[in-house]
Amino acid sequence: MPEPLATLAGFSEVTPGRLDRPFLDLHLESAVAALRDAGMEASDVDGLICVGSMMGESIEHTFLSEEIQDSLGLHNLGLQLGVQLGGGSHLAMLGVATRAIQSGQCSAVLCVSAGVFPPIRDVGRRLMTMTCHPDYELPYAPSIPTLYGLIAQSWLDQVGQGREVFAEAVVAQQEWAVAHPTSIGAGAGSFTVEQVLDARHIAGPFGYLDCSIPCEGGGAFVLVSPDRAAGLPHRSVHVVGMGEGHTHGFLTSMPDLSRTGAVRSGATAFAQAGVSPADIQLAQLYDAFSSNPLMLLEELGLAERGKAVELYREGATRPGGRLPVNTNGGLLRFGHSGTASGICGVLEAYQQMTGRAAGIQVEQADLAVVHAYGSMLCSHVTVVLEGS
Amino acid sequence: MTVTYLEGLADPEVLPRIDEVNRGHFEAAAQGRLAVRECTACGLLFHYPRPFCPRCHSAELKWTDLSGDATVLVAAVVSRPPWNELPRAAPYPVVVVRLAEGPQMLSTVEGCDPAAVVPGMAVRAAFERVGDIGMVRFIPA
Ligand SMILES: [Zn+2]
Repeated sequence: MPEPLATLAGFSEVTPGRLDRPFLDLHLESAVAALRDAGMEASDVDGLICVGSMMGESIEHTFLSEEIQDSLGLHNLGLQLGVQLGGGSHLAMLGVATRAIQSGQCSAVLCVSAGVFPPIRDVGRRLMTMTCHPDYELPYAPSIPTLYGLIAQSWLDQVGQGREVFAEAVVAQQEWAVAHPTSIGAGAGSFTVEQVLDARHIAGPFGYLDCSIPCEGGGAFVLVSPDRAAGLPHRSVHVVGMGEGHTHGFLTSMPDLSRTGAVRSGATAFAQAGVSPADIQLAQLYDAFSSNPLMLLEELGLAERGKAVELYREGATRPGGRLPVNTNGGLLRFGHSGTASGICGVLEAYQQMTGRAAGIQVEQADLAVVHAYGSMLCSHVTVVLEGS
Repeated sequence: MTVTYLEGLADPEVLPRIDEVNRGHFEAAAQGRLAVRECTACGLLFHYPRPFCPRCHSAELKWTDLSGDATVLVAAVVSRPPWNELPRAAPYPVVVVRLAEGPQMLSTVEGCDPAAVVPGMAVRAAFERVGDIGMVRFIPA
């Protein structure tokens, strides 16, 4: 049995969309709802972590964690922090909270990230300056799909496959999305591989349907010490393993364009949990583009190199399959909430593991892996969760 | 070998910011040379320019002109430009190349069918002058 490091006690999730709500208010609503779900009050909380400024309205909130703390009347905290690791921020936040609980610094940490992803047409150039080098990459006018496309194409070249394998992930995730009541992409109905391949071309191996859907969204979760698990209103979901892997800051410096820090982060997390990738029953993998689920399944060791597509083709990753992946539709179809995107995988895993899935409930969800990363596949964080 | 100059590709609103660390690279490119940093302590050739050698952290660096010969490692054709104001027309291929002397570089390949730009393709440096500076791009060798 893996040793519990910390325990998820409650959550809240913002319905993704164009919400027209103030940035701070979204955080406060998420935080209050998550505490309520955990059956906790303000006085029960002794740690607060949020995700720092990235883009859009978040830029105006340099002291976001202080604003949240003050607004919620949290006046006796042992930890208060804004973390910034792009899409990896949210799992990094979970990691910091877990270590604070392990060390005794805190007993209950509120983690919140509700956020914004402005429409691409409004922020194209500014968005680019965040994800590529402003002097040595940006002037060549790559788009974000282009940068991801270079990595994805490199992986395709290495494993000898074509872009149709990525379409399998879009089709499978749409199967989950159509059954999810708040998934943005649900209304589009089921997809075929041909439909995905025929969508208008964007860059590299990606068409329109290979790209995630920008939106606002996010949510919050509460993490407590495992010795408090018995008093929780929901099934306990424990953090049992964590790992990180950081290999580069800019695409230009990637030592091998087809390999990522997920190899290290995954191996570290599985070793700490004392489980094998083959034991995993549920995977939530950060999927800004359709290439990620396949690449990450392989980098994390859930499939051999070049074999992830077989999991898709045999139906393992779809509803009813033996290894459900991105069960709310993922960033591709549920929605990519920009500054809050990385929290969605944790929230979906937690909902599945407590039997509270909003969409299709997975039958066996006792051991899950959640993986995210920041910037151009730079900063990888893997978390292993166990329900008991 | 004659130097090839290109024009009309860069967005004048999105040019590299020139500083003391990188001036040598961009001024050389305006003169048709591909210059990268060489560490005089450990001999590493590296791109992009940084104030310290990324291998040994020495600050004793010099500019070295390279041959301009390179091989495409991977290519991605852009159909939808990243921002609306970009003057150049899509599609165009963005590439990561391996320079013959070792360093890796992100750039574009010009002067051929974008679909013909594939891994292993031999290319050579070409230069786009924009004001006082130049940008290094590539053309088929
Ligand atoms: Zn050196």
